[in-house]
Formats: sequence, structure tokens, C-alpha cells
Amino acid sequence: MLRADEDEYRQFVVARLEPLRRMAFLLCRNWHTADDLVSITFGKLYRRWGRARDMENLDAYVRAILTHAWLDERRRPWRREDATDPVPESVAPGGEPPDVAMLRRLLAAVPPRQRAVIVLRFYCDLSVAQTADILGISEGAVKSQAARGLEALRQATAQPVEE
Amino acid sequence: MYHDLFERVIGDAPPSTVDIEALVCGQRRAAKRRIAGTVVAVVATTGLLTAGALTVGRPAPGGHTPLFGVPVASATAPGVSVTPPPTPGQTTYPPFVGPPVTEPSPAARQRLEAAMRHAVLAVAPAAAFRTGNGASGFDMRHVDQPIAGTPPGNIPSFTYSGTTVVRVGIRQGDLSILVARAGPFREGCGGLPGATCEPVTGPRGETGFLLSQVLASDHREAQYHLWLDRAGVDAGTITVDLMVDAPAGGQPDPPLTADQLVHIAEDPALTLYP
Repeated sequence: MLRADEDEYRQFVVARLEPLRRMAFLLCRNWHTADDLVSITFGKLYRRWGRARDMENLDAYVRAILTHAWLDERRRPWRREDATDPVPESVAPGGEPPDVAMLRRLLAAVPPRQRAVIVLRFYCDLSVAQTADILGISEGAVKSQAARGLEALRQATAQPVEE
Repeated sequence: MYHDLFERVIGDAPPSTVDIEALVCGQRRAAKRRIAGTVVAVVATTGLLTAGALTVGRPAPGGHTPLFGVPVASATAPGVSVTPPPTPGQTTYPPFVGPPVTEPSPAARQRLEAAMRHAVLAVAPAAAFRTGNGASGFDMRHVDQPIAGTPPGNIPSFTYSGTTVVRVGIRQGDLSILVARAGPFREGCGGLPGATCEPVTGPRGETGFLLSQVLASDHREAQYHLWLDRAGVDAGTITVDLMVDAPAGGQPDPPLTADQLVHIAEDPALTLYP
């Protein structure tokens, strides 16, 4: 990679480091794993920088790498988690607002791909089509997988929302 | 609408353990290892690749030794001229093989983009293409300058490259086709861990190799690198690269087979001399 390209790459990843860490944390709920996922993502991006840097929506491309890196991690038997994990012990009962606790329980309860749908749709504010494109599934599948998350978010925020 | 709620769930993030400088250095070293492995293997494989009219070993003019590949002299097709050596005071370039390219860049890009799509569809009629901008086709680039990382003025490059995501059914990969004016160097294969390399001979005298490698250190990613010298055809070279993400625990399932990659590279329309 040319030095100028490398500088451009470095500027990009420095600017995206924290937002991607936060997205990764929502997916895996563990800061160590989140940092691992971000490192994997940036490594892949480095090798594809020549082709990726001119993409119209580079952020979506990077989110896609991150999401797939996490889904791949989850498929490894020794890293597989129970889809119905209890709420982490670190969360003090009654110590956080109900809406935060509800969303935390929701993210802990849903399987990995559905969690990815919820994060991409409602945290990253991606459209149904963009989410479907990243995950390689149909828009109908995105809508159905997001439905439960949407209902939980409605309850958490107690306000009407549009799908 | 829910972003703030999600942010509250995330809470305060601890300091990051992602070391960007270490990551960049690691990737840089990995890239150098790949290139070094290729250069070492060139010497061993050139004899296989340079049968016939190709002669190996003459150093490049000006005392420069190409960093990538082996100098080649007289690798010209019948009736093909060699770029004359530079006059004193000019930048010292080893000579290109074959005549200069006269087609204007915009026209060449458009023609080669169509030729690339046609070449892939000829072997995989169900193939679909998507560029980084979401368009259906190839992203085209034209390079007419020294290769990055080589000493200034050493190895010039004249290439048109097209990149796309190619999908055939449920399988997809990153496909890159590079049509280059043949220069004073040749690629070689081997020296890469876990890689297999097979010689390729085309119907019109093309010679080259196909390298296949699963990148174990890269979480189940595989790459296929095909390099073809068209010295007997039009004094150009073709490079076809395909990168595929393998499913977890499984083998890479590329959208195009090795034979299809070879047929793509042999397509006569992929030429700088229409």
C-alpha cells in the first residue's frame, strides 16, 4: 500500500474506532471481544483498502465486515453462547432505568442474527434494504426478525413509532 | 430514534485495546511476506514458465533489478517492437515489451469493462456483478506510473484494472481483472504457506500459473491468483484475482472455478491492442 493510501486508511480507522467498538459491544456484550472484532475488521479493511476506499458507502461496508466477523465468531463451538443468557451479573438489579434494562434483556435473549438485525436497524439506523444487504437475507426476513425488537423498543420507550 | 437508548445500554466504554499502529505494521509485514515469498519462488519457477522464445536473466537497463519478478528480455511476439532505451537524462525505465498503447483511456476503460463482463458471463452465464457504488459491472482504474514501493523510475506499470463483487447463485467473491502492458518482469508462484500453484498454458501460447491459497491467518478467507503472459498473442499480461470468504468451519466456496478463471484470462477481448 502506498504511504499516502496508508495515511488515508489510518485516518479512517482512527475516526471510526470508537463508533465501531460501541457497535461491536452491542453485538457481543463484551469489551474484550468487541476490541477483537474491531481489530479483525480493520485488518480485513487494510487488505481491501485499494478497492474499498472509493465506495460510496464505506461505513456500511465496514459495518458489514464487523457484523460478519461477529457472526463467524458466534458459529465457533467454543465461543457459542446460550441464546437465552440471563442478564449479566454486572447489572445491578433495579440500578438502571427500566428502558435500559429492557433493551439489555432483549439483546441478551435474542439469537445472534436477530441481534444483528436489531443493532443495524435501530442503533445504526440502517434501512430494511441496507440491513438485508449486509446480512445477505431477504427484506422480509429482516422485518420479521426486527418485529420483536421493535415491540420491545416500543414498550421501552412507551411511545408510538413507525416501522 | 432509539440511538440514545442504545448508547445508555452501552454506557462508558473502557479504553480501547485496539493498537492501530501495531495493526498497520502487522498488515504491512504480512504483505511483505507475501511479496517476498513470490520473489523467492520466481527463480525456481521461471524455467517452467519461460519455455520457447522467452529468455531469462538479463538485468534491467540502468543497473536496476526489479523487486518483483524476474527480468525478461526478448519476450516479444513476432512483429512486436520493444520500447527504445531512454536517452541520457531521462528517467531510467526497463523497456516495456510490445508497442505503446494508443487507445485513449476513457475509451479503453469502457471497452475493457464490457469485455470483462462478457468474459465472466461467457463462463458463468448466471453471474451478477456489483461495484462498490452498487452499480452492476466493474469499477475501472487506469494506472500509468511506476509500481508502488519500487525505487523511483525503476519499474513502470501500465494497466487497466476492473474490480467487482461477483455473485453466482449464493456464492460470491471479490473479483479483480488486471490487463497490463507486458513489462520487463514476470510473476512467479510458490513460497506461500498452504498455497498450491499450477502452471497454465493457453491455446494461443499463453503461459502462466494459477495460485490458490486459503489464508488461515485471515479467518477462513481464500484467494486465487491467476497470472497469464500473452507474449504469443499481443504482448500483454492478464491477472485475475478472486478473494472468497469461507463459511465458518467450512471450505471456501468460490463463485468461479479455477478452469473458469483460466478461460476468463484467455479471453482475446481482454487486450490493450484491439
